[in-house]
Amino acid sequence: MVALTLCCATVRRGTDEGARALDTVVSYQPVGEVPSCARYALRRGAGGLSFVERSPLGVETDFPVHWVDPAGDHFAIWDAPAAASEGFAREVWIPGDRRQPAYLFVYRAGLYELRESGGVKRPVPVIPIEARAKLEPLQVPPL
Amino acid sequence: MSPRWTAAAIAGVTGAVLAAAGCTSITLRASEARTPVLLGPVACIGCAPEPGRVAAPPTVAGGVHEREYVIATFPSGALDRITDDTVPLDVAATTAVADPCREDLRVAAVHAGTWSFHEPLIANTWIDAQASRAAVPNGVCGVAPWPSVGPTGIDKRRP
Repeated sequence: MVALTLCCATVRRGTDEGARALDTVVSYQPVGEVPSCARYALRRGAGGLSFVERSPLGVETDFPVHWVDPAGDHFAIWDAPAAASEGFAREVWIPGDRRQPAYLFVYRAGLYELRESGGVKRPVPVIPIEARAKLEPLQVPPL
Repeated sequence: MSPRWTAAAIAGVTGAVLAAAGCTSITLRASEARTPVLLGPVACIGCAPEPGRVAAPPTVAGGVHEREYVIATFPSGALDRITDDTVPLDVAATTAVADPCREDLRVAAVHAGTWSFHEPLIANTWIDAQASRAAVPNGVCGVAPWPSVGPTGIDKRRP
């Protein structure tokens, strides 16, 4: 428990926190199955919206694929270089109302397909899959 | 190339090949299926076994297969591994059972095996399972706390 507390405290002491906060639209507190002390944020940059996962060590993972449907914004990443059967895919759904919680989905290999839709290649699960984590919006972006 | 260097190279390649070949495993699971997939003749999750129950013939099948090739190259072995969920058990269970609240699946048989050749190393490993559908009288499901996403998009139903 002590180690966990220290780990989480380290995240909040980023050196460029102020500069990064300018680009942060919403930061999220995860609830569910996510890496320990991971942080999530929706940001706005020159290229538009982007979603970022930040590990306690400061390593950031971008979700490069983005599309929008009536339900809200979706961001996805997968580690299958050639086929969806070779790796996990992760999708984050952020409702249009940014005050509402977002949800993180994880699709196991073999349980999703990569489909072209609206010019975007994105993972689509072949069976209903429940969210793996709930991302609660925070009032003050700490990322 | 000196004899000592040749011996070291052979030992290195052999070690790499054995290390690559000795650490493989596969898993057959149905962790994403909403339909309970039960091992053994039980009436429900947490219930005691049902002695003497006559099982229905298995109608649902799933399996995972892995083929592995290891080619001795220097300085390390080249490994090619192909894993296929021939029929993902999650998908088979979801497809077979329309109402997971009133029906579950009971595993009737599991077949697992492996064979390999060592020169060159070719290994084949598999797990196949067959399951029977079983009605759950008066079965009810709890409300899913979080939304789910499927082939048609987000299902936002929540309590």
